[in-house]
Order: sequence, then structure tokens, then C-alpha cells
Amino acid sequence: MSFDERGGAPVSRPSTTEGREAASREPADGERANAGRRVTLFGWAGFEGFSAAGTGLGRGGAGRVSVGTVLLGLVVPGVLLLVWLLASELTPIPDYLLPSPAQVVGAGVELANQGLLGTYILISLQRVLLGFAIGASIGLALGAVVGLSGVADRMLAPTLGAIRAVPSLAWLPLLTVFLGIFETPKITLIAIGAAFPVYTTVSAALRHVDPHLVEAGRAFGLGRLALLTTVQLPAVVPSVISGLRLALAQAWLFLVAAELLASSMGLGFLLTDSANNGRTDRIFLAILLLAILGKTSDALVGLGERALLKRWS
Amino acid sequence: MKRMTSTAIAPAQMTPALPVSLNGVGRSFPGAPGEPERLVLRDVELKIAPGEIVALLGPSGCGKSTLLRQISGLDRPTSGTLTIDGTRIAAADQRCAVAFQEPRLLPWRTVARNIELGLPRGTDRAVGRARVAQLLELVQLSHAADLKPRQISGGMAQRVSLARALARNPGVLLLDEPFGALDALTRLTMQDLLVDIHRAEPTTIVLVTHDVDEALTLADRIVLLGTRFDRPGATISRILEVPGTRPRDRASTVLARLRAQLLDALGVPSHHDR
Repeated sequence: MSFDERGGAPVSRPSTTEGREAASREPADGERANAGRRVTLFGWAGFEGFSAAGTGLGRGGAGRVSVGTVLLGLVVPGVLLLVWLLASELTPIPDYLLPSPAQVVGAGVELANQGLLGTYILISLQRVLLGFAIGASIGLALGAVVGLSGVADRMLAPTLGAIRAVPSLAWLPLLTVFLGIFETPKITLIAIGAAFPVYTTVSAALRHVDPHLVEAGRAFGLGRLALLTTVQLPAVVPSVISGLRLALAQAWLFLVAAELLASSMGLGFLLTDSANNGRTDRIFLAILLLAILGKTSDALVGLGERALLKRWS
Repeated sequence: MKRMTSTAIAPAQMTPALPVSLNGVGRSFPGAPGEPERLVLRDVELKIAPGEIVALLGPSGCGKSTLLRQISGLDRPTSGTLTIDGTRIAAADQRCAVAFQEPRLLPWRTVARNIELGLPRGTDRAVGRARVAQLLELVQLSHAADLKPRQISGGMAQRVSLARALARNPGVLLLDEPFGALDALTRLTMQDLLVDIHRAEPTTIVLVTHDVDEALTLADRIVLLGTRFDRPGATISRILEVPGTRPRDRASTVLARLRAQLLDALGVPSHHDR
């Protein structure tokens, strides 16, 4: 596996608001709704935990995101920053419990000067992207097989459901024993996390492709494979995208899980390392970085999704 | 783009119209658990000549569409055999093309790309493009080639569906109430269009309809499907030759008499003054 520390495009973490909107565009069946709820098992990225007000990015044809919308969305972070600033300056809470914003920025600059900040961010991004790419591909393949074949559905779905029910952290000891402590177990864990949202949404969506369109394709001489690429896959593109966004959120979750427990680099490592050394400022920094990275990249993915859906319907 | 002008090559590459033969065709569907199977069609005997237009007429739910699906090979009969040009019909037989009751266009493809779907597999790109352009002209949609299905009207969508079915120069063109969902005026226009298309590309056409006037306007023969009160399963109850050549005078007295007969046979009072 390559170990190139130059990361790719930013990735999204809590894309759940858009995820829900995407899901509500199509009739969600039980399976589908489960795909969403599943995420809540792993903590803070639950469907229900995020405001439905959102940014409207996932809504097809909801119009452009205006400057006003962006400013409105910045109100709460601005207020929070102010409260944080005031709390750290005016209350007797000691710095080692509540560092000031300036101290957190200072911690970032310090890490950057040591050459660690960029490394940590890039290694985390690399793990997320690799794990996501592998997991999403496997999820897509499994989802296609289960969604298209009744036999495969009956044969594989129960097993896959059971594997999906295993909490993320339960895999980690086993993966460490099997695969060592370097990149492979982490990426494998992230791939496991990313595979299931894609698998669930894709298989459910494929089962519900308009049978009329499929029959029309068959009537015009499309074989199984051609039918898949010409009719069925394009028909589930919107679902695939929402599955991919959920998978990205999962990838970040599993990344932090993997890095918290066994790593010497990355944002999750920064969290544990700082906790062990009492560096609250660095903990704040890591959390802020995760939030900013996640939200920014989520917005980018949302823009891509919108462009694609526009072309696609 | 140069080849777009080559409308003249079409007849040369055209598949000849093919004869269809139905021998004792029957179709039954398994009933709900614990119930006997449901016989929809029985003993359908019909020979359709190449280039002929046959209308399958009957009340709703009498099995017209089921019969059409047998010819297309999208469904298999439980008894009897069907042949096109003397050979058994295959699953989704590629000598046929179907235009369904709904347009069934792929929403993410443009009008032109939807028509492309109807081309035979492995058609040369340039040839395909020329054929699509020609068909767009035939159904008068050249201006809409790059629109998506959601941007066009129901009548336009049905014309796209028709063009898609014609794209492969089918030996047999199967139309399942293709104009049923259109408003009355658009339907008349579409019927005239179909007459023009048949003159330009005279293939065998089997048309399912419950519209007596549509059958009279378009068909050479009208095949009435019906169920006898004492037996389950619809079969051919009558076959009528429609006199005259297309385009027919919709107000012709001969047709008015036939209309009355057909309506009578369908159990609808015609109020025709004989």
C-alpha cells in the first residue's frame, strides 16, 4: 500500500443533515431508514443529532447558497467563539482546563512549526480517503449483487446485516492481531465502516428501480450487464451519492476510532497524545480541525452532489 | 454531421416487415395461495401478414396487453406457440420493438439519447446518429433533441417512445395503447403521424387499443378480444376487415356502420341510426 503523505480532496465528516435530505427525496423503506439509524450506533454522527435546518445543499434545485445563508450559518459559531473568549478571560477556570482561543491557535502554530500539524492532517486524510475508496467500492459491489439478485439477497443479506451490527471498536483488536499496527488495519477498519452505508443504500435503491424502465431496457435488447450500466445504475445515482456521503461520515468516525487506540500520527493520535500530556489546547485544536475539515469538505461534496443531480434528472 | 443528410440510406438498411403467427396461444397466471390459477387468454389463433396493421380491441382488462407481451417475447405463453417469420419468438425478441402505454423514457438521458437506446446493439456510432436525427425529424422533434424527458409534454414523450421503437427498423412494431394517456386532439394528431410513419417505413404493426375510432382509423384488421360468459379466459371473438386505404375519412359512413357493430360487440349502445 502506498504511503504518500500528500492527501487529496478534503473529506466530509458529519454529512448527516444532507444525508437525511437525500434520503427523504426517495421513498425510504425500512432498510434505507436503517442505513441512517445505523450511524447513530457509533455516536455523534447520528441522523437525528443534527439540525434539520442545515444548509439546503442536498436539496436538488433548492437554489444557490446565498451570502446571507452563509452569514446566517456563521452566527452561532461566532457567538460560541465570543462565549469561549469571555469564559477563558473572565472566569477563574484555569488554562489547563479551558485554554483561550489564542492559546489554541498558538498550539496550532507550534505544531505546524514542528512540521507535525500538516503531517497529522494529511495522514488522517490519506487514511480516510483510502479506506473510503476501498470500502465504498466493496459496498457498491455488494449492494449491486444483493440489490439485483433475489438469491444473493436471501443468501447474503442476513450475514451482512450481522457483520454490520458489530460495533466499530470491536474489530480493532482483531485487525491489530491479524494485520499489525501500521496502516493496513486502520484502513481496513475505515473500509469496513465506509462499506455498509453504501451497501445498504445501493441494494435498497436497486431493488426499487422502476420495473417499467427495466422492462423497457430488456425489450430493447439490453442484457444483464448492459441493463445494469444503462438503466439500473444511473437510476440509483442519487441514492449512491447519499450513500457515499454517509460512508464518508462513517470513514471519519472509524478513523478517529482507529487512531485513538493505535497510532503514532494523525488527528486521533493528537487527541490521545494530548490527553495523556494534559495539553487541553491541543485537544481543542484537534476537535476544531475535525469540525472545520468535516464541514468544509462536506460543503464541497454537497456542491458536487448538486451539480451531479442536476445533470442526472 | 455530414452523414445527417443521408436520409435516403434508411430504406436500404431497413428490415422487411415480418409476418406473425399465433397458434393456440393461452396464458394463465398463478393465483393467490390456495386459489386456482387465473386464465387470462386462451386459444388465440391469428395470422398477421407482413406490413399489416392489426388493432387488438377489447374492454379494459381483457388481456390485450398480455397478448401483446406474448408477441414481444417479454412474457411467455402457458400454451400454444408464437412465431415471427416462421421462427419461434425468443425472450425479448429483437425483431420486435415495443412502445409502451407509458413513454418509459430514461429521465437522465436527453430525447436523442433515449431514442438511441432503441438502436440495435452494436450499431455504428455515425450510422446511429444519422438514424436518430432522421427519426427526430419523422416524429417532428428535431428541436427537442437535447431536452430531458421532464422538459417535454406527454405527447412529445410518446413520440420519443415511438421513435425509440422505430430506431431498430423493427420487423414487427408493437404498440400498447400508445396514445391512451393523451388528450383527444393530441391523440388524433398522433394517429395521423403513425399513418405517415407506416407509409414511410411500412412495418408490421400490432396495436392494442380500447378506442374504437383509433382502431378504425389505423388498422387493416380489427381483432376483437372478449370473454364468453360461460368460460374464463379471453379469446378472439371477431375479426373485422376495415375497408379503404389510409388516411381514412374519420366521418365516413362505412366506418360509422363498422363503429356501430364494434360498439355493439363491446356491449356499448351505439345509438347509431341505421
